[in-house]
Amino acid sequence: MKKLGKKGSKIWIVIPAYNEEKVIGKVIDSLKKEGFQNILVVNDCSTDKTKEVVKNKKVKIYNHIINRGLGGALNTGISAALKNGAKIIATCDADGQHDPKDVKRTVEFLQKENLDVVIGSRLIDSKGMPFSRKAINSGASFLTKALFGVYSTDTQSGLRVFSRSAAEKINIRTNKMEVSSEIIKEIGRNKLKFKEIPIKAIYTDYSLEKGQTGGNAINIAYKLLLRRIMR
Amino acid sequence: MITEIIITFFVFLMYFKLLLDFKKNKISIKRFFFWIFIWLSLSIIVLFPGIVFFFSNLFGIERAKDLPIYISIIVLFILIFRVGMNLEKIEQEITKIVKGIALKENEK
Repeated sequence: MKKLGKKGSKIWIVIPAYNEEKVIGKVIDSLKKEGFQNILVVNDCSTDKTKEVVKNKKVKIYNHIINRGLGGALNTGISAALKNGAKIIATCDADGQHDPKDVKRTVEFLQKENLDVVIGSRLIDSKGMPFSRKAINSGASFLTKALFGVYSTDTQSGLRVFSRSAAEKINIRTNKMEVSSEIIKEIGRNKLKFKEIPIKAIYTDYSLEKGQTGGNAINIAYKLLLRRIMR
Repeated sequence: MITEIIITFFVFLMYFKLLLDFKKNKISIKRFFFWIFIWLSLSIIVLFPGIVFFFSNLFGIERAKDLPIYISIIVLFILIFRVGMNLEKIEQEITKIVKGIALKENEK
């Protein structure tokens, strides 16, 4: 883990971003400060200045010509990281809700325990999370367990770390927010070694505005059910 | 009598075509059974028209003629559902293209 900060350590951070001009610069800076050198941003056809902000930070940027949603952006990001020779891939939200120290801890945990996937769960230690969020996330966990047989306390967490082999196996097909549950499904399907570690979520008014709302969650549940029935 | 024979013959032709398609892997097993079911029900109705009355009584439909309308509504629902599925497939295809362009652009 000493090599975390060096180039060639082959740890890549993937940040899917859509209209995040206000915070993405800070997020990149704080990750760099924590020693991550390989950062790539997938700009999901933002209509604001996200692209310019990211370019100024001198990190890799991949631009979607049409907005595809979180799933599409993660898909592109993970493929790009694999192409760049990543040994470990960490995904991180662009809205600044993840503490870069937590990202580092999650990566170290994966290396130490020799796991395939680690998800940073905001619900193991859920102090400070608004009740409505807790309720939505518990519902999602229950549904995911029922449908895909993998229990995760926080399926909707944006902080995930994959080993290279796991990232190669995980097949993302959904475009929108339901990708979070799809990743859990893929963990079950590929029988990957998976654990969660508690992380803090930094809930600012900004990140709350951008996350999942109740109506959105129902929509996701419906789509997941459809998918389960049809396959 | 002639109509019955023609339709039965037609149904057999469709079965044959289905089997060929299935062997050539042109259709999924789900679709294969779906169409077998559709053609089978058609031939049964043609050969035994009384069955329509049986079913309309069973479902408590007073006029036998209403049954096909109910069935049509159900079929329409299924079709809309399938259109939805196809749309999703197209969405996924668009994503593939967008991803391909994003990755390629970065290589330059």
